[in-house]
Amino acid sequence: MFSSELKKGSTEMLVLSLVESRPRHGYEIGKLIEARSNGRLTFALPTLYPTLLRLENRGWIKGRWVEKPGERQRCFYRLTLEGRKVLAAQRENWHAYVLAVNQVMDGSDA
Amino acid sequence: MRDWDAFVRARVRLPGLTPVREARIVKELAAQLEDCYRDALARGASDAEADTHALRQVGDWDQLSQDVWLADRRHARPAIERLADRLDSHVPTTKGGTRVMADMLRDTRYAVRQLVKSPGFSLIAILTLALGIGATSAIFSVVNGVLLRPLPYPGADALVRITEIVPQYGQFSVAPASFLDWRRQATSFERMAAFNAISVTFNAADGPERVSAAAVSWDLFDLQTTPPVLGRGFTEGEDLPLKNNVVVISH
Repeated sequence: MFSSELKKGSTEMLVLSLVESRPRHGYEIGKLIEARSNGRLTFALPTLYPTLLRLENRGWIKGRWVEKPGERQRCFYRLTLEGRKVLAAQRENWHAYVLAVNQVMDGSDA
Repeated sequence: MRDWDAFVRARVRLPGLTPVREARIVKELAAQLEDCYRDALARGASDAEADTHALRQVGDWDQLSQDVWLADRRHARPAIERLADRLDSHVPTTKGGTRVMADMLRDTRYAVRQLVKSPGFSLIAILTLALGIGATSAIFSVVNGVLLRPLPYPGADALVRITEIVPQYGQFSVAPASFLDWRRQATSFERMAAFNAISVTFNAADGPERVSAAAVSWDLFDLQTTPPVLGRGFTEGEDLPLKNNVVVISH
């Protein structure tokens, strides 16, 4: 629904926020983004998976292979300490950015 | 159900990554595609529909491979290993004359891999080899120049150097009187000449200068059958006192 340009800057922040509360695997993260946005935000595997790798290589998330009974092994990602700091900063920036854009778009001329 | 691991392994191209890293990525991508397939089944799709739905998640495997490689390049294998792989991919599998080359390339690749696995040992081995080769080359150069290479004179194999042995002191230079006696009395030698390395002070235009020289008997150049390039050598008697103010300059 939203253009890829609009979504590009928020992918990492969305992934970090979704693994903040508990570890999740890649497919679950994609489904959760779609569900919580009521279908307005979708990130395909070719976008989401490289993002997960980048975040892991930066040390913001950490993957761990888990095998549940009757299921195949999946890599669950959790937020690291560094990742929490980054997410907090990104969240603050995002709120400030949205506020600023809204002020510009909704404000009247002087 | 499709073997998603084999499906992904056949399509994803990550030649620069370590095998362990590549296996992990294949496993994870396969897990996500299988999750997508099972999710579609759970929502009531048929096996074929669920399979198609999962397949549609990745449209361009080359682009995905490139994006994954860019995101994960810190796990890339050393450049020399990738070079060894490229060499190996060009090794012909045919028999015959190319077999030797193929085996050599394969052995080279194996050697490179082993060296890369143990960089510390490889460095020490290379330094030791370099030191050994360098030392051997230096020693050979000296031996070649001093012992093996002939002197630049005609009949050099007939040239001998005679020294005097003093029982109490060992090897000595020949005393001038002994030289004169030997030259007069010896029958085993065609000719004898004397040579004594000295240093002299040369009064150059810009000040005195210490110069390496040699005091020689008049017939040294005749013995060596090597006349000077320019001018003349010594004549008989020019090695006697009051007549010995003649020099031959070397270059």
